[in-house]
Amino acid sequence: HPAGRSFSSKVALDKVLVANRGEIACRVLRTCQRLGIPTVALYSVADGPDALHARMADEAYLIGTGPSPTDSYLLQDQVLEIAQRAGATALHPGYGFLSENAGFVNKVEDASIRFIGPPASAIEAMGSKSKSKAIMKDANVPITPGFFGDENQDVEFLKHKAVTEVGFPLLIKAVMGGGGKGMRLVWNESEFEEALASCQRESQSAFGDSAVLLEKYLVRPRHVEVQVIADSLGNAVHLYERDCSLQRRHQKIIEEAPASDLPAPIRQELGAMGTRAAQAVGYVNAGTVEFLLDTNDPEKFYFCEMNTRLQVEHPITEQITGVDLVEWQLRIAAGEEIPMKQEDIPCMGHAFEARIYAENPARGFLPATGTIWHHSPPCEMNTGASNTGVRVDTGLQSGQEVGVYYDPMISKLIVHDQNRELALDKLVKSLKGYQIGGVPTNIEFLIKCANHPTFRQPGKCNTGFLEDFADDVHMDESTRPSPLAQSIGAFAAMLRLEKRIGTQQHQSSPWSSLSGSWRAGDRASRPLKLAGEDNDDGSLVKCISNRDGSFDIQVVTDAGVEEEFHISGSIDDHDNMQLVVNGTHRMTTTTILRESDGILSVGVWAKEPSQTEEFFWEIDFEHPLAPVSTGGSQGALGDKAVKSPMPGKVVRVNKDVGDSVEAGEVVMVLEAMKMNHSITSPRDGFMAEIRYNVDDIVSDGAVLFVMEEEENEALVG
Amino acid sequence: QRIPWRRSVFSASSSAAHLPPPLLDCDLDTKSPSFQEAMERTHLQVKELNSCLETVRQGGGPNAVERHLQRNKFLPRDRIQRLVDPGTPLLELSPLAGWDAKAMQTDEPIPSGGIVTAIGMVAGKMAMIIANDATVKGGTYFPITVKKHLRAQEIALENKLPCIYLVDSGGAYLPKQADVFPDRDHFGRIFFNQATMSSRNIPQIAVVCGSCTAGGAYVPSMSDETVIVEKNGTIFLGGPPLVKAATGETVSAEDLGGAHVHTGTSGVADHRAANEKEAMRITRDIMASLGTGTADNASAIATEGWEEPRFDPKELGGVLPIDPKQPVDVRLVLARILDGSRFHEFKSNFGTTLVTGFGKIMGQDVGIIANNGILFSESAQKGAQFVQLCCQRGIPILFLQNITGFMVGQKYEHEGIAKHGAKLVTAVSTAKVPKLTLILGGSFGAGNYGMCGRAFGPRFLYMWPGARISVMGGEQAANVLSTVQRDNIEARGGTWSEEEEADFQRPILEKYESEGSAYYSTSKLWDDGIIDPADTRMVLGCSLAVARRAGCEPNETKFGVFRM
Repeated sequence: HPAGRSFSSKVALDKVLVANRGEIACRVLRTCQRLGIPTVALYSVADGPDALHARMADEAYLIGTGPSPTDSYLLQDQVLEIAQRAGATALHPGYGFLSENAGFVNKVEDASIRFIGPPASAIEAMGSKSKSKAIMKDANVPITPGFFGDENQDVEFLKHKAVTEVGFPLLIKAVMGGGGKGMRLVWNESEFEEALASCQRESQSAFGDSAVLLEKYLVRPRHVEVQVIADSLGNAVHLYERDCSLQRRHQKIIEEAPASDLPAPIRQELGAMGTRAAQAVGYVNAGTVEFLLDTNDPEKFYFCEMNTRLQVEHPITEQITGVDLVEWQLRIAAGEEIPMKQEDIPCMGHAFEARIYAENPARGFLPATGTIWHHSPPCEMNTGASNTGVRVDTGLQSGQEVGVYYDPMISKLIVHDQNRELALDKLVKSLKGYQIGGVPTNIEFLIKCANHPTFRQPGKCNTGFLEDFADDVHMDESTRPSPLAQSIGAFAAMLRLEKRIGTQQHQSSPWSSLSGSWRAGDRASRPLKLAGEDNDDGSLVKCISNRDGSFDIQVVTDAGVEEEFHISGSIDDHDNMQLVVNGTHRMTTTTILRESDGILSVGVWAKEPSQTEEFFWEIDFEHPLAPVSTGGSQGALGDKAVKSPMPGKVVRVNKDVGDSVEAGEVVMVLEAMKMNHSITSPRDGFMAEIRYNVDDIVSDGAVLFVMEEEENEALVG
Repeated sequence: QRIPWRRSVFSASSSAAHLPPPLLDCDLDTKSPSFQEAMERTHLQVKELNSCLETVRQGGGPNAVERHLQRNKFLPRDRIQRLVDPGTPLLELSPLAGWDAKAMQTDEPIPSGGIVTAIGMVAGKMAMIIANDATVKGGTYFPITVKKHLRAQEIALENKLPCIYLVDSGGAYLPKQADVFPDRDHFGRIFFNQATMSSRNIPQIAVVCGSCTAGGAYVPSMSDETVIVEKNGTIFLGGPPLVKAATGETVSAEDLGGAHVHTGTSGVADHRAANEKEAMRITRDIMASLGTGTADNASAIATEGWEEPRFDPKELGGVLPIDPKQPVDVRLVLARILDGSRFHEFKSNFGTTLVTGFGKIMGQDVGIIANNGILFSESAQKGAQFVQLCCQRGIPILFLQNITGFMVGQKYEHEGIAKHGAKLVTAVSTAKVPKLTLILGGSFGAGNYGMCGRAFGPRFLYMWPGARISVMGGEQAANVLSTVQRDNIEARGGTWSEEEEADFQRPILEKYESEGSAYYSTSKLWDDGIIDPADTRMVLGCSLAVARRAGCEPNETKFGVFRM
């Protein structure tokens, strides 16, 4: 279908400032550019002027002085100052950051800049969960039972309401919250107080407001949301619904549009309710009305909340309708009428979106940081809808770092096809062809989910999916690549070590690598040790050089059996590795090598995923020739240093220098990915050093504190 | 052989017009019984050679190896493997030194002479690596160990190779102290050489992987830069038992002379490594930091590229016939070791029993002097003149020996074959350019001298497995001796039956048979190793690249008096 319906008229906006970063900034900029609207971007110190969104825009300005959002993208006055300086006449907030901040919208309008989004009043109304429920109730939109009054936030009062009016299980939600932040699920009364305190604390720090509401918790509902759009002339339409039931801790993982296995009347009803909800708050521009479908009573659905912004998963709606939602946003902000009538809006085929994250599914989905040194999606990036039905939206460039300051989302992979089954196949195939090197990602986890029989069945996935099938989609951390994969990785590493990569000119001397590892009456054998494994015997891959440049590579399997592969081949200048394994199996892979910090990393992506069981594997070897580390302070500390298992923010420090600590005692608490993680003492001892304070951001592997086994005399004396 | 990822480095654009013509008609009839028999013979010889090499790679046997590994130590060849650049050749020298116990006058063989010596690339620079094998009698120095150590140092000195000593030795083998300690070329010479080389800007690097006791302590101490491995590495003049006996002081080896002591307190060593793996990496760092003033790096020895021979080097094993009395054209060998089989022959119609001329091996100029029959006066003169040419031009010389000796007889003595031979010996002795010798077949009598035998200081000397070396052939020796014996008996009026003569000859034949073999030679370190004929080109190419590091300046030789 058409790659976005285009409308001939010029949009009456002179210059648009995009007050965001990453993929959504790129997404908005792309449509602006297509429509010929000049653009302005912002970049923080952390993103820098070379960030993709900054480069895409016609002009870009540094915002703030610090890397964190509060010191950059959230600085309202400075955003406006830049908008004025650059002569922007309209502002698109993207999602997150300032997108649902009514106060900011007012400031924007006061500065005579058009806000591309709903009026402040609608944001305010929908931003308050209690207020929004009340409005919906009045508009006869079904709402979940709960307590929504935010006037009394007393603990005992709320607890009383919880027990008497709402019942368990229930949710405590930040009134100002959204996207899963500031939300706690409470199964019974005894957990209530602690959950409330933690929720309030989080709300205060995230939204500057600790007010919460209580809501009945539907067990395993489906999360279905309706995309609505309204113009300033009083028209409102919906662009069908999206099913975002596959969630982990309220974080969406795979979304689809339209929702599957819904009876036509329910779908119609959902759409109508979405439109009604928008009209009830005098909504203008694009928004999303979220509903929960009761899986025990499939006829029933309840209004959950309204997101007054363009959402992360908007592309799947674009794929099935052919509408460029950002274009519609721009036109409506310019005062135009909605370009289409409800009955003319098509719903074609089926679309999925998978969010690719830099995270470690095997380690409790801890966010990962690092430099993405290879990023090759299965289609061209940031082109919008394509003929192949595969789309990737990203704000990331190869060589860029995924830092601790922003969401670790790398990109969104969107696929579209004639029906759900075909689209799902396309999703899996595209995920397998997605090449990312440098950080662990959730791609394999996404594939497991997408391939799960329950997910494959239309309408069978609900929000409890990951709990119900935790074992099925569990990612095993200790899983080593198969012996063949290890061998192929080792082969590539040897090509690198022997300087045989690509077509670079070999030195012409009998002693250069031209001759290979020649040995009289013998073959050179070089052990490569898998990085991060202590076992000196089981983690060695032995590479034996043959005189013809091939290798016999021996790997010890997990079962302790030695397997040997004969591998010959080469890598060209475009990272293509041609291989022949055991003289009988020809393969082509994309192979990228990287050396850093004494580690030789090999990323291998099979060109045709069916060639091996594994479509991607990354193997880290200890670099056999790396210079010896001179032993900085961190190294010298040895096992006395306790390191951060993840990037995050320090929320609590329980000890002072000199305090005695028992093994297992909580010394520090970190927050990462909306979760608190306790850092405990590995042994009895004394605190020798504490390196971070509350609110400090720590990176993965940073030394948090140092322990001494015996009390340091200097400290006592 | 063709290496698939190697693109042809010879391009048509380079001036092929200036290259000498390739040797023609050097095809061997590979289907002929004589070739196949010869190949089969070589095949068996190489099989034996490789099985010997396999044996010595096991060091001092499974028990000793097991004990060694349990101490977190690597075997010497594994140490070397971790030291050298991946994908580069390693030229191990005299791996079969000490192989023949009879030659050694020991009860059992001393695998590799208890020390592994090899030339390899370390961090892009060539180095001589000398590694004790502690699994062989605790790495102690037998006479052959000393000899091999000194030979490696000699090669390093002559070819300006930085030395890396991987030390793990209990010092001199005390029961044989008289044969390892006092003489000029005994233990002390190791340190003399270290000082001499250091003074000539040839870096001396020691890695203390095990003990360095008594005299051994001077290897690391005399080095320019020394690495010591924690726990296993110790250096002291007297070990704990000796200290206890001498002064009553009780001290552990670690506290007496361990890594912490020597890197932190005494300054005897410079770098402390947590384990051997780290020690090898530090050593690579040291090599990388030598700068360009001390040693040539790989680029300095690089050539423009080369053609492979037009005739398959794998056929070298079939060139020499089974019967050594059968003549063979040495050009068949040249056609299989020279680049593009190209050979600019010098004086091809004169003194034809010696083939001389210029060619290249792996892109490196080399002058060839190859036996093609008995040496006559003309061949000797031609050889001497050719040596002069090479010295004038600064081109290394490769001697291919297959020689029974100089011609004897009245005619030849009268024409002065002795003085003509002397010219060749004088020229070869005084030639300053690098000399390499390969013994293909026989190396007998004065032929050995004229063709740059061990005594004439070739930078490297290798043997094919079937090569034989002795003052004369066993049969000739037996005949000479029995002729003398018969004359004596008959002068006294006695008689000597043929049976008695055969009994007299048998031990002589047996002695020559055993002492003339390549294995006897290599056991006693009369050569730098026995090589598979198919590897000839590679071994010579690598050796030539080493040798070219020094002595290729033109017109530097001052010859002795040539008797005209």
